[in-house]
Amino acid sequence: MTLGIEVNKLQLRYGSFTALHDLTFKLDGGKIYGLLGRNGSGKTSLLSILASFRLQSAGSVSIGGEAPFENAKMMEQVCFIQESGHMNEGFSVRDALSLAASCWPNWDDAYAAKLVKLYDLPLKKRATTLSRGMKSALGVTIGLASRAPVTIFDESYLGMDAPSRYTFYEQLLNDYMEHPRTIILSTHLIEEVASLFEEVLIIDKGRLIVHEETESIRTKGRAVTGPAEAVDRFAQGKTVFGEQKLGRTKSVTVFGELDDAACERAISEGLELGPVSLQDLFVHMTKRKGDEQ
Amino acid sequence: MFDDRSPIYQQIADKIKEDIISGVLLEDEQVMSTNQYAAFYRINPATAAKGFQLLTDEGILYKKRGIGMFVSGEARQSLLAQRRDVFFEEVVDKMLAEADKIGVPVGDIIKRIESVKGRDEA
Amino acid sequence: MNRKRRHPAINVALKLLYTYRWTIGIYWLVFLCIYVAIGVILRSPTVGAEMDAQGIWEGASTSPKVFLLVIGILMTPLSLASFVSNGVTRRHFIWGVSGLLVVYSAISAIIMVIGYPIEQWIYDKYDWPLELSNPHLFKDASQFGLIFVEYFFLFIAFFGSGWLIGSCFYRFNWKLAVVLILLAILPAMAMETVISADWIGSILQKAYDIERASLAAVIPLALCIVALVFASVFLLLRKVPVKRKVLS
Repeated sequence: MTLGIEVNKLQLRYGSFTALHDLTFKLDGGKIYGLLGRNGSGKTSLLSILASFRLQSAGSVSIGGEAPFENAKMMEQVCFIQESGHMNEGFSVRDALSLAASCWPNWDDAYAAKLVKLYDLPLKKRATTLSRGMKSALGVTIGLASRAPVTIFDESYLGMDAPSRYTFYEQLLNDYMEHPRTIILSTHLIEEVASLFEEVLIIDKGRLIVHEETESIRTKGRAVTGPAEAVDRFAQGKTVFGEQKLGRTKSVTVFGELDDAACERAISEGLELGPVSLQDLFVHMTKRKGDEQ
Repeated sequence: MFDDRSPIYQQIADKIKEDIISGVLLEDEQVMSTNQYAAFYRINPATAAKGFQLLTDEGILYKKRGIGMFVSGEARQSLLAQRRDVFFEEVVDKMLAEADKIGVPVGDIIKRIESVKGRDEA
Repeated sequence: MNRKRRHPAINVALKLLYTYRWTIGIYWLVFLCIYVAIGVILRSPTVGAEMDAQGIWEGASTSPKVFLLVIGILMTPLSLASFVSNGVTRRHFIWGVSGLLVVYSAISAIIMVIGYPIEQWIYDKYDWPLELSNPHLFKDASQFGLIFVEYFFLFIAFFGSGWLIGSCFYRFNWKLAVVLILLAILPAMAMETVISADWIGSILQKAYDIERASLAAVIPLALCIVALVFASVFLLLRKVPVKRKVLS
């Protein structure tokens, strides 16, 4: 079962601070989406609203055509896993899994057991005394085994070491292929995960600045390097992010469609066109004044 | 595995083409499914599917309903022909430009080619 | 893969009961040991001489009331987040805890009810006289129904007040919550006044000359207080955001 998500003019205010400004987007569902944003960009606020952890201040959210907040049927279709989770005090790992199993309609016990083994989770240990990496592993185990039609992971693999993270990506991908659902991954480790995303959303300062297919963003970014004057000429009228100078050579990042003719012109003027990683694009797009220092 | 030079689906298509040319994948042989590809390279299956679609559109792959994707019979030939078409522009001209840049006389290049040709015919 | 599952509210109640199983079990065990010990000491030759016709079970209700108050305080901060983050609505959580309140208060009241005839039996065996020394809803220790009613409402009021306090701490910042304790404890105090039992009843009647209302009035009043508690918690929690930390 795949559920689509529609968000319309969503706003979230904490007192006088506005965390989300008029967010509007539509997700068809059944895909793996990447949500990128700097710390404090409003990523977690948005995800909290989707998961009914919070009620929005204005605007509407609809998942599978229904508003999810306090909607019993919808809330049990959206599983939101944050890094350290919300463990009951005194719950053991086994208790936490048992609680999750009793709440999620699509829970798969066998799959959960497999993940527990894979991550070597200590069933009898208190969930709150686990190491950060183990807490993350427990979180993703619950998230994956819930098989919720909308599953959201908010940097829930940050505390894990690289091998555990790669296990997660592998498990996520394989289970997604076997049981297609809507998955949203919010991350800082962009380069590691970018190849998993079908679509990418970038949030900055509470606004949605990008919503595209991953492949098309990738092709839109180019690093143009060459003699400074030629670079400036070429970059005229285009969206430019960042620039670096080394002697007479200049390098800028250009964002936008570049057809073959434009590319050939660039090369003929002695310019070099290079690729820009999604991570670099993200850094450029979300730059703030204090970053240069 | 994949870099940022071109879209991943393009790189997948190029990889499969390379495998066909070099004989790793034979004509009428079944290729891995998009899901297997996705799992192997740890990429989104939609991306793998896009790459396969590209190849299907170009006639390099064809689909057998219910079974999977196969390399088409003329795939190797047509790919080799494509490569031959652009060989002079993309390989030879570029070599000559490089030679020119670093100061290798064309005469030397011709001598080299002749000696290789002589060796081959011997 | 859809399996048959319990209703979410029932699941909440059962999971919470399971969470507190040791706390509850050990509490009653220790409680009974202490009261047996007190009983033994009071009846020993040195102390016993001055204790005429005094039972100890009658005064035993303070401890369970406080215990229930504390458990009530812990309810929301320690478990709301873990249920809502597993897809349970706040409404179902509130229903589940309400159900737990009713059931556990009833069980505690039944324990108190059972204590009376047991005490009577022990006293009879040793030929000690036994009388109720404070006012109650019931006149003698055999009116099980009335005993149950008295304790049930008192317990649920304390449990409920605790739940209100805990919910205030979850919803508001701790400074405001501390002030709100004054309001949140009112249901418990109101119930004590309405039921007018035990030493509070004794004070009200002797010092303030306030007579308890008739039974026909007491029960509806008690039910109103209980309804007020549940309604207040519902208003507090129905849109509360799930927080990362227990106290903000």
